[in-house]
Formats: sequence, structure tokens, C-alpha cells
Amino acid sequence: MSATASEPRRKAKKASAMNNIPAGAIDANGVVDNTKAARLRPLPVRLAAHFKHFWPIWVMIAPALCFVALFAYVPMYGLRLAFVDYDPVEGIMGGEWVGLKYFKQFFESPQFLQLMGNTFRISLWTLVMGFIAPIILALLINQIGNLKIKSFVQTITYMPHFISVVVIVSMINIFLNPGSGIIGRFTGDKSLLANADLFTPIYWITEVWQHMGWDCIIYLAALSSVDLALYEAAKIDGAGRLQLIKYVDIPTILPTVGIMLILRMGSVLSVGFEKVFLMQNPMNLPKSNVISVYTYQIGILGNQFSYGTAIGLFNTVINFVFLVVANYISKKASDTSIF
Amino acid sequence: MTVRNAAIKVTAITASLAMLGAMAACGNKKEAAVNADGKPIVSVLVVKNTNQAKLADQQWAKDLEADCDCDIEWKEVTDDQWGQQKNPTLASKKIADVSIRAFTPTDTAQYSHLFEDLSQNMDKLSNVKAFFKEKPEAQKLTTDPEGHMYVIASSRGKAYAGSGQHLMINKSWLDKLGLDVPTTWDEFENVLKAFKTQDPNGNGKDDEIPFNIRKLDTGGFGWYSPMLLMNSTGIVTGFNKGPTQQGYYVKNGKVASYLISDEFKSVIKYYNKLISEGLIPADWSTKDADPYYAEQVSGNTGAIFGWSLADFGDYADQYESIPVPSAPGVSADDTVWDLSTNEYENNKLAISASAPNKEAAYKVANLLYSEKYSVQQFGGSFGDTVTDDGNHTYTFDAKKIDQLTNDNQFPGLADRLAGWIPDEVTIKGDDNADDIKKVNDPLEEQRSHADPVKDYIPDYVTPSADDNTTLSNLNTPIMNYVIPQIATWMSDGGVDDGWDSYVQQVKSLGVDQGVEIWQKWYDEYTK
Amino acid sequence: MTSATLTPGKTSADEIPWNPKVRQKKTVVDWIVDIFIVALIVLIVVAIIYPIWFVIISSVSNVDAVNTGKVTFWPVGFSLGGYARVFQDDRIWSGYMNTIIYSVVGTALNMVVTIPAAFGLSRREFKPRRVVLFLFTFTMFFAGGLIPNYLLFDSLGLIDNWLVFILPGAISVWNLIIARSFFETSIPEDLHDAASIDGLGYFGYFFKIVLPLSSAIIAVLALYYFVGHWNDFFTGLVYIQDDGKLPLQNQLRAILLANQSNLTNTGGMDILQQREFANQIKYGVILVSTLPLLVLYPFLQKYFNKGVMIGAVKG
Repeated sequence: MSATASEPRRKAKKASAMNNIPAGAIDANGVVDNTKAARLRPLPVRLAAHFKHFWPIWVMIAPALCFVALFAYVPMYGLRLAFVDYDPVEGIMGGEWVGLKYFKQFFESPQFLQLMGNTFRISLWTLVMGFIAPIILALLINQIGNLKIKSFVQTITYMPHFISVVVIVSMINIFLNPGSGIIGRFTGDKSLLANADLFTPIYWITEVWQHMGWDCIIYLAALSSVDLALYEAAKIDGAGRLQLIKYVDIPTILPTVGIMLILRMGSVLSVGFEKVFLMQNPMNLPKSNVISVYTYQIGILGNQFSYGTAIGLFNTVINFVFLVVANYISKKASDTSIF
Repeated sequence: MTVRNAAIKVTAITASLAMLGAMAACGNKKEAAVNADGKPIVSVLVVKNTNQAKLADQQWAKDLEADCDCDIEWKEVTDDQWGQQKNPTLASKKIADVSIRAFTPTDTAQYSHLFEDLSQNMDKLSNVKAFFKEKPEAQKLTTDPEGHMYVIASSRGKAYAGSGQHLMINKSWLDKLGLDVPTTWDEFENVLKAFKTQDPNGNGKDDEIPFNIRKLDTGGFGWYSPMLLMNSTGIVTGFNKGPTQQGYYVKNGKVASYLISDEFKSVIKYYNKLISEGLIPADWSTKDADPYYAEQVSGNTGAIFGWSLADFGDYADQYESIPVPSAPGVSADDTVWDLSTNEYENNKLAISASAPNKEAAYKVANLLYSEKYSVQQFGGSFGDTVTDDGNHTYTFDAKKIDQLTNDNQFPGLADRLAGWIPDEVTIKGDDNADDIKKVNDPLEEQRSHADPVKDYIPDYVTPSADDNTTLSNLNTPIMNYVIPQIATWMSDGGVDDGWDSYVQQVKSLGVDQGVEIWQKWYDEYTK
Repeated sequence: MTSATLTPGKTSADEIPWNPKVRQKKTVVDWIVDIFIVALIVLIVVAIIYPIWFVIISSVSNVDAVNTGKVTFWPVGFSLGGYARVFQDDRIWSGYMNTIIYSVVGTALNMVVTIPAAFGLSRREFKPRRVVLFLFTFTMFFAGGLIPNYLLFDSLGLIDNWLVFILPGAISVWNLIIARSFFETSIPEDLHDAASIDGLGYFGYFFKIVLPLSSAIIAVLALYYFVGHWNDFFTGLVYIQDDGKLPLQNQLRAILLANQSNLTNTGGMDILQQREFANQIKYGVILVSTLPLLVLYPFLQKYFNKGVMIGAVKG
């Protein structure tokens, strides 16, 4: 500890030796406030100092920055399509400026409210349930003492993630098939899929089923960093299993939970296209028609680049706002944030 | 720790190699217009079915190269890929010199600056000229009102002139129960009842499905839609493609929407009756395609809408196609049938306006439309799967073709050919054509009850890009409202009570505007 | 003190708190909790294992039996025909080869780019990090779309080039954020203080101290990236025309779609057979394409079963 203690003194000596301390950084007693002094230096000096100290960090993030700049920021001009009338002759850089025309067209579309309602309902259920389930699963798996069983459970729960959407939907159909399906044989002569109100539960339950094992991996990784000394201490205090979960496991994964929650908030208006599209039928359409399917019908089939881009951008902005707000709240409340 | 350090080094090296590779790739990208032998290079993009073999390896493709004295660079993509690649290639102006089955007349109209106006260069396309002389309707298919043509249609021969959509019924059941082929809805219903109650398959179990229908497509009415029964009422459908998929039809030159017609209502009511009597499975509205097919090949189905008898697998010889029964109050002469055709496709061959070797590109295009290459595109190379018997007669080796198809190695383009099989050509051993002819013949008479122009919006009527957009924006909400509504009525009834407010709602969604647009273009093209 | 004790911890069954050696007596509440936990795990495992079993038996059953609901617990009309035909197709093998190359090289690049960046951005004293992180996060949401990407890739020569599978996806911001949050919360800050006293710069600290303690997050990230590359079919769909360069997922899709793409237009016996075939391999391809991933997982699992941080900081 002695080395740490002598550190400020050495720094102070060095600083005064430099002899160019701005007046604002010296308090009434003539003691120099180093931080303040550093902040008051001219910009080039500060930059030089910054890079002198932080150049390794810049080197480490440089490749990532370059890739993102090239492959994410360079093509971003494509978003302008949402505000212009796409003109095939002039290409993507041309077209007449129409401002918010396509956004208005979307808001005034007879289906706007239905689409928004369905998208919010389906994605919120999936978001909340899909967020809670992996946490519970991770805590449960962490409770398994036998490493072989633990590994088995982990592998099994992780497998459904790799089943393609097409097959998942086929299985939903087969299982719910009235008369013969493993579930459908108990539900009368109509499929549960014909009941529009059951669309959302069927959707999120299968989503949770498919992805909770995969999503819990990150929490299991976080749990691996738990300080086992904490368990010892808790045990000595007579903690039972529930207490251990409550006072050791949950606090350990809490920062990860926070980050995952913020990230998930950024998908509040995203419902994947393929699964909904494949699960749709005439009977559940009023409850299953979502923005992504509509964009597909309008934009891809109808070849309307500008309209499609505008709807996509609207979606994105809503999602981004949710993420930023969630990030802000989390930062204030728990100092967990992604930026 | 050393293992990890080594791993880091390895990854670092791989990464830098990857970068170098990228740069190298940038560096040597130059497209020469001639190859090493000085022959002009022509790039040909083909959108293939995934069960078709690599074209570049086929003998006919090599012959084609020799005949045009050029170097063909084949680019072969699947539908799946092309669905994603089409728009970016158009927007970035990176289209191949010759594109086969890649662009529809709507695409080429929108991006007309990228394509050659072929109508100006018919002299270089003598085979296409001959094609149009024999089949003027093929020329109409892709010619816009100003006379431009950016893409050429194709024909796979008169054998495929039918719609490919048929009402097929279990004839052996009819015979067993001593019933006649039904000609009216009432008779049809009675037949279905007999199928249900009299155990025609004779296994003692109540497992017959008297009539099986496909679930409604949420985007509109298409292939084998239950709404084919509209033809019973005298409204002609064209469910292969075109405006009747969205409800627009024409009668005596006047366009209307059948979605708000009494005929449509009567079809819904009829279906509701059949469903409530258990003659159609109660879960029809949610049944996926796979279980539907599984039932179809089980031999337990009385009647379906489908392509050909082969749909029934091992039970094919029990079935036959029949004319659609007439609705009450509609005479047999007024009963019609779907007027779609499978003979032509309108998206076959386009030439890039910026092709470096235009002459060679035209030469390739013209050769493809010759009889020699059309037949080979259709069935594979001469001497391999096709024999040229002389005098415009060819024999397909059906067995070999079957085998290759099963191995995903079909040696040609089949129905995707960019060519023309002239009427004078006879092809033996084309199983598909034989199958389809068998089911088409009983319907020919009914098809002739309607006028192909006055009672059917011809396939060559193409609204402008702007109007297409308007139509798409109108039709999406209309269909999203109509389909669930009628599915409910068909299953649970109630059409009488809800009909008036339904009509109001469809009108408020702008169906009249859609009718107006189609009337305008119908008049423009048929005047 | 001169140096922190930097010994990555070991763990054993003894240290797991509910090991009977450690806790001799269980209260009634503990028993209830135990039973509840076991019951829940069994329930979850059964709910997941059945559909997976269903995929397996369906892949070797008669298609029509599957689709009419006759297959429930055991295969009906057992046949390996679907698998035989998948493996007969040459495209599968070239697809496998390509996928392995793209996944391995791609993941290597991903790790080299992501891990150092995540570490850099986890340093709280590095003030510009919030701006940088914002710039990264922004790209998770706002993207130019297909056409500008296509134009960019075209000008970089990436169209029909295998590097298109590697370079554009070199970094996933989602993974970057996860890794950064791990470094920030799971590596004790004392280690950094100790390291700087020992005269280690950022590089030294990163390579000698942080990386060895981060095997869990490295394993997770490698898994995420690898699976991402493995399952990527969109890139092949959009940017590749030469089918010799297509990865496994695209080849499987092609075989699967062989019947559906033109179902309505050719008809006849061929189509019927194709449909049966495609239906059967629909289940088989899942196993064909994911088996390598299932093998990979237990291998990575051991990295996050350890209490790596034990004894990392003493004194």
C-alpha cells in the first residue's frame, strides 16, 4: 500500500515543476488542484496529454471504429430515400424531395392503428417473457450441483435455437392440428391457430421456448465470475439456497441483466417477419398483421423503396428512442448503461 | 498462456491476410469485352429453379457458345437469391448483358433506360419475329401502349394452353355409388353428402373428406383458391396471375370488383353450407399446405381444386377432372372456367442497353429463340435426354429426365426457357404435357363460354408503375379486411347480416378507385 | 504489496455451496426449495426435449404420416432416404467446406476486432468512450439499407467474393456491448491499480491480466459470432452469384426450396416427389446443419462453469 500512498505527492511535485499552472487551479492555500489544472490547459496540450496516455486504447478500438465507419456509416445515406420520391433513372442519389409525405401516408393508412397495436402487443409480450425466462433458467441451471447433469440441461435447452423458423411453424401446426396433434387432440375440431386471441400467446411461448436456453448463456457466463468467497461467507451466516440466490447470484448478474434489458428495449417495435408471416392465416389476420409483414407486402411486393424505407425508419426511430430512454433511466438508477 | 498467445497471433495473421485479400480483389477487377481468343464476351444471367443443373456444363450451352462465336459467361442464381438481388442490381445499374427470366415488363418499364428497346431491333431477332408472326398475342404481352418492348415473352407450346387449375373428383367413388357427374351446386352437394355417408372407400370408417379446399391466402386469391367457384356464377377468374387475384374482373368490357358482388356472396353462402354440413373439414381455414397435401395423396378425398391427376399420387387413376357445376339460376352456357394460361411467360429475355458486345448479345438472344435451342432448353441436350427425330418431332427420355429431376440435376430450363416451341413441333414423352392435356380437355368447352377479351382482362394489360403502386396500396388494406371476414363467414356463417356494412367498408377502402384504374388500362390496351 | 496475486482460480464440487459436505443440515424450507427447483428443471427439459425428439423421428419417418399427425413418439415408416439424398448432393459438401472456412476466419477476425475494442471502451477513465459507444450503438438501429450496401460492396469488389462473408460483419455492436459490460463489471478495478503500479501499460494489463481472466466472455463471444456466421444465409442470398462460393445454409435452402419455388407451374409427378423429398429433409437438414454446433457447445461450456475470479484478488 505504500506505493499507492506516495503517488499523489510525486505527482504534485512534478506538476509544480512544470511551472505553467493556470491560476484558476491553485486554491487560496496555494495548493494545486491537479485535475482542475489539467482541464484548464489549452486544447492542443490536453489532446497531446490525452493521446500520450490513451494511445493504446485508441489503437485497440481503431479497427472496430474503421469497420463501423466503412460498413455502417458510409451506406447510411440510403436513409434519404424515406424523404424523396425514388426515381429509377436517377438512382438512389436522385429523386424529388417530398419531406414527410411517406410518413404521413403510413400514419394515415387505414391499417396504421391495427398494425401498431398488434406490433406493440406481440413484441412487448415477447420482450418481457423472453427477458425473464432466460434469467430464471440461468439461476436454475446454476443450482445444479452435478456437472454432468448441468451440462446436459444446458445443451438440451440450447438446442431449439437452431431449429429454423419454417420447421418451428410446421411443428406448431402439427402439434395444434385438431384431432391428431399432441395438443390439438384436446381442443375440439378447430385449430387453436384459428383463434385470433391466441396468436400472441402462441407466438411468445414458442419464442421463449426456442430461445431461452440460448439467451441464458450470457447469464451463465456472468455467474461464472461470482466470487465463491461470497458463498462461503453467506453460508457461515446460515443462508439457505434461496438466500444464496437472492444475495449472491442475482447481484452478480444484475449488471448484465441491466445491459440486456436496455438492449431489448431497443426492439420494442420489432417483430420478426418470417415467423409471423408463416403463422398467419385468414382467421388470425386481424391480430397477427404487424408492421414488418405490411412493409413486406407494400415495399417488396409493391416495389416501393421510398415508402418501405420510411416505415422502416419510423420503426427504427421509435426503437432507438426507447433504447435511449431506457439507457438514461438505467444510468441514473444503477449506473449501468451502454453509453 | 502460451497456447492463448499463439492463438492470438494466428488470428492476427488471419485477419491481416483477409485484409490483403480484400485489397487484391479490388485491384484486379477489370472486365474485358473480349476473351483471350478475341471472342466477344456476353454475360448471361439465368434465374433458375433449384432443381436445375449448372447450365454452363450442358452440351447445348456449349453448342450455343460455338454457334454465336462468342464467350458466354453464365451467371446462375435461384429465385430465392434473385428475389433479393433484383432491386439492388437494377438500382446500381449492374445488370447482365442478357437476362433470362429476371425482369417483368413492369420492371423494365420502370428502368427502361437500362434495357434495349427490342421492338427497334427485330431485324436482328429473326426467330423472335417468326414467333410473333405465329403468336401475335405473345408480342402483345410485352409491348407497351407506345410500342416499346424491353423484354420478350416465351412459349412452351400449345400443350400448356390450359389454366392448370381444375376441379377434380373421385370418379371411382361416383361409379361405386351410382352417381352422375354433378352439374349444379345442388347436385354437387348431394354427391358430397353421399361421399360422406355412404363409405365410398369401403373401409367401414368415416374417414372420407368429401371436398377439401385450401386455406385462403392472406394476400389475395391465387392458384387453386376455393374462389374458383366464382366461375359457377359466370364471373371469369384468372387465378394464375393478374387482377382477379385482387377481385377485379371484366364482363362485357366493364371492369368491376367481385368482392362486393352478389355472386361472391352466394359463393360464400354455399361454402358455409358445405362446411356446416361437415362436407369440408372444419379446420380448412388454418390448414397448412403440408397436411393438405398429405390428405390429398391419401386417397380419402372426394374432390379438390388442383393441377393434374398426378396430385393424387398412387390414387391418380381414381380421379378425373370435371366442368365446374353451375350456381343456381345460372345456365350451363353461362358457366365459365378460369381463363389463365400456362403457355406464355412474359419475363423471359432482356438485353442490357450498356452491353459491351451488343451484336453478340442479340445473336445469343436470337439463337435461343430458334427451334433447336428452344427444344433443348426445354428438355436438355440432343443425344442426351432429347432425340431429334427430324421433321420437327422430338422424343424426350422421360425416365432419364425424371431421374435427373430427382437428383436436382434437370439438364435444361424446362418451363423457364427463353424460347418458343412452335405449334408444328411434336414432343413425345413430355409427361407433364400429357397429364395436363388430360385434365384440360373436359374444361375446354366451359372456357369457350367466355370471351377472352370482353370477359377477361387479358394478361397483356399492364398498368403503369405509378398506378401499380396505387393499386398495391389500395389492395393491401382491402385484402387484409376482406380475407379474414369471408373466412369467418365461410366457417361460421352470418354473411347476410354483415354484408351491407362489409360492402360499405370495402368501398370506403377505395375499391372503386381500383376499378377505375383497371378500366382505364383495360381500355387503353384493348381499344 | 508489490503485486496482486494473479492466480486464476480453480473450483471443485467441494466449493459448491449446497454440497452435502459443506451444509450438513437442510431445513424444511430448503427441501421445498430443492424439490421446486428440481421439478422446474425437469419440466423445462421435458418441454424442450419432446419437440427435439419430434424433429429427429420426423426426419426418418414417412412424410405424410408426419403431416397427418400419425407420428407422436416413435418413427412411422422408418427410412433414411432423406439423409441419403441430402448427402448425395455435391452442393452439401462444398457448402460445408465454405461454411467452415467462413465461420473460422470470420470468428477469428471478429474476436481480434471486438475484444480489444470492448476492453478499451470499458475503461472508465477513457473519457471519449461515451461518444464512441453512442456512435457504435447508433449503427445497431440506423442502416442505409440493401441498395447502398450493394453499391458499396460493389465498389470494394466484394460482390461474388468470399470476403463479403467476413469483412462487413467484422464487428457486432451487440457483442461489443456485452463484452464491454463484462470487462467493466467482472474484472475487479483493483487489478488495474495493481497492474499500473507494476508498470504495466494498457497493453500489458490487457494481455497479461484481463484476457486470462476473461475466458468466459471470450467463449461466449466466440460462440455468438461462430453461430452467427454458421447460420448466415442472407449474405449468400444477396451478394453471391457463383454457387461454388455459397455456404451450407444457402445450399440447404436451395434443396429445401427445390419444390416450392415453382410448385404451381410445372406440376406433375416430379413435383409430387420433390415435395415429399423436401418435406422429409426439412427435418433432416436441421440435424445436418446444426450437429457441428451441438458438438461445439459442450467444448465451450467448460469455460463458464468455472469460478474464474476466485483468488484473483488477494491482499
